[in-house]
Amino acid sequence: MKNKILRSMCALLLVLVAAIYAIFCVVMYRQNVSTAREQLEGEAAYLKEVLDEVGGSYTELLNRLAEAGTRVTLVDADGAVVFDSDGIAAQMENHAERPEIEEARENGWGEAQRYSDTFQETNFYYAVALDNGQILRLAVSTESVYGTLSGQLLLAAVLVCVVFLICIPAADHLARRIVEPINQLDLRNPLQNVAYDELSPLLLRLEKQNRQIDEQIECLKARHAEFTAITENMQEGLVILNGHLQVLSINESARKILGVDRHGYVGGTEGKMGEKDRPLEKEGVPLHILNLNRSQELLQAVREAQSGRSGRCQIEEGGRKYSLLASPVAGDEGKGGVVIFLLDVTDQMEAEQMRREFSANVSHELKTPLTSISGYAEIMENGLVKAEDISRFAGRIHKEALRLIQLVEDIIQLSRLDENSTADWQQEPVELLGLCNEVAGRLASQAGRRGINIEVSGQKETVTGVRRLLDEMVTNLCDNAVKYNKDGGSVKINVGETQGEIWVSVADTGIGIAPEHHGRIFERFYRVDKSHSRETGGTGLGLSIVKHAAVIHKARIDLQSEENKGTKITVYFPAKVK
Amino acid sequence: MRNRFDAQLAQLNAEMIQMGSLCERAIAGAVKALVEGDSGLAAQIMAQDEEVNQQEKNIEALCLKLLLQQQPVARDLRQISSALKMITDMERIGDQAADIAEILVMENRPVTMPNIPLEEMGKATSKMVTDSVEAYVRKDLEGAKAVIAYDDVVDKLFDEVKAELIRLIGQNMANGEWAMDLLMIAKYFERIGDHATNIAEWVEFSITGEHRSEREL
Repeated sequence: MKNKILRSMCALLLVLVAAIYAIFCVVMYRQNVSTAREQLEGEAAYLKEVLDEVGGSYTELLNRLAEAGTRVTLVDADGAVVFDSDGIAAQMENHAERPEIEEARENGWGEAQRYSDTFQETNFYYAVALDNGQILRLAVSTESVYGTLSGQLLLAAVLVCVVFLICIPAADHLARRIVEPINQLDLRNPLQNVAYDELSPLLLRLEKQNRQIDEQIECLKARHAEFTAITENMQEGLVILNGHLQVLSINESARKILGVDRHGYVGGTEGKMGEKDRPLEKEGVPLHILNLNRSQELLQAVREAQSGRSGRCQIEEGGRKYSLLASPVAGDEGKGGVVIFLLDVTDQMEAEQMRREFSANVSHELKTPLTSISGYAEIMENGLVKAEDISRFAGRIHKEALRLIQLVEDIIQLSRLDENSTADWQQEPVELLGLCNEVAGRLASQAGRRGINIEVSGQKETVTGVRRLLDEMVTNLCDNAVKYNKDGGSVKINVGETQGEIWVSVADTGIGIAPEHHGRIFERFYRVDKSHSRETGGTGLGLSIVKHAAVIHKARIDLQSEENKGTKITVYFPAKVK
Repeated sequence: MRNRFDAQLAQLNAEMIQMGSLCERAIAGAVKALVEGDSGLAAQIMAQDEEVNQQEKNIEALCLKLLLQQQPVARDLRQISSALKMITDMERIGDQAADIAEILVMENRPVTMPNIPLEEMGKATSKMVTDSVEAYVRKDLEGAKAVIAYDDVVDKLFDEVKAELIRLIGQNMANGEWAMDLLMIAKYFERIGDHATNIAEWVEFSITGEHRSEREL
């Protein structure tokens, strides 16, 4: 803009200088011409008087006159040149036809102006008729307009130089001053500017658009934040791939699952928009999904998704199992992108595994006593048993049947506990020390047979709970303590309170439990020593019932055990059970 | 131009990882088939070897195309040339895993495995392959060095297996054929370990620009 103003001003100046110069020259020229004419007229009148007076031969006079610079020509009445101060008169053509001569013959005087191409000058003629009929013509030449113009070119050049020297800095300054406010427009706040009124429609429009853009950016940011909040906080892993299977976006869960940060990749979607929102890479190499997990199953699922169907597979990462779902994203060209969902299914699969094991165990446990019963009954049916043995066989059948009943009862109990609805259980204050004494009394005879001493100690503590469940819990614990004890050992039941927590502990001096079994003994049907379980009896459900009862009372179980030294199981009831 | 080149390099990288993954699957499968005596799995591994070979051809074609069309220099050239070397080793790993599988498919194996650390050796080899591919994927110099160092473990196990097998043959010639098969398997494992070492060396080269064999000269 500045340059344009500057250029226009220079052009204007140039035109102005040229025009003024031309006008000046024309005026000068006209001035010259009129001066010359007046001078000639005066001279001619004077000469006429002289020549008329002198008469006769005046060639000599004329010659002298011509030396003054004016060309003098004397023409006869018939047009023949008698004298000419510049040339030889005899050689000159007849001048009768010249306009000034003709005019002078008629009016006494005449004038004419002719332009000579040869000399680039204008000749000015003035003719007067003498008394003797001859005609005297005076001629003077003045420069033509062009002559004047070209004659003053140097002056013009100097003029132009001076004008430009003065005017260009001035023009530059001016242009600057005009442009400066425009350059300094604050485009963020267009209405704050007070530059030119002419700009205000533009600025208003700008302000409006600025506001629109701000609103849109805000809107986009909010939407992005919303999206980020959702994806970053969800438990499932979410990975978005482009058509080349490079990672475009990956959420926090997926980063953790696939171990992105551990391996020094940068980029991703965390943080605000535009900051870290770029594809993952390491040392400038964009991250391919195979960099994160190169299992063939994953690749196959992703390829499946690229071909337009959704692919599924399971992958293992960091010891956990994930179900992977790859879905296609329609792309503009050729291969579209892929969205990958990662779901942690470890617990689900473990639960399924446990359910399967449970069913198998239940069937097995139920089948064993039934097989015995069926076997004994079959032998008796076939009459292979002597009469005196029948009661022994019946006793066996009875024993197995009891075991079966016990088992079914335990399973029923467990499934009731599984439903976990505390509403079904009647909550009441239960005094634990008394309860423990009761249990100890019940088990005393069983323990006595093996010379085991049951000892109850501690203080009276009351918790709110289901008496039947608590009874079962302590009974199961004590039962185990007796069963898995050594002959002549002891069982110590203790009731107490620490830091508001009421606890019951059952300690024995038995065979103990090896550390590798600690995590599993509360599982259903789990037996530490499978070969001996038949001797000791029991269903393998006791501790499982204890665990469920504890869960219902929101109690926690602590297990301390050392092989061949004994086991101590403590149940802690939460501080505020009301 | 450069963009297209970068995209091609990224593609090469992805293809390499995929080939590495195929090798991992083959060797892990071979070890599993050996341990569990699963001849079905062994047959499957033999069938899958074709995929590894195909992948080698694909990568080779891609590398040559890159070399001819882009005339890479410096780091890019290193990446491509080391890829060309690595796929040869990877292909050999695939072949040898298939060879192990072929032995396992045969019927003449006795029910009991002699008490030799072959399983341990297989797992160590499998770990080497996995770690070398992992080192390539992560551009992990330390990981590559660890793989190279780990080769000694496999070599030592091979010596143990060999000594034990010699003893077994001396005791009972009846199982001689099976013992020889086991020795072959052990040798294949040992070779696979060497190839994994080679891969790790090329990973090292592509990162540092210096190959172990040059340094030793």
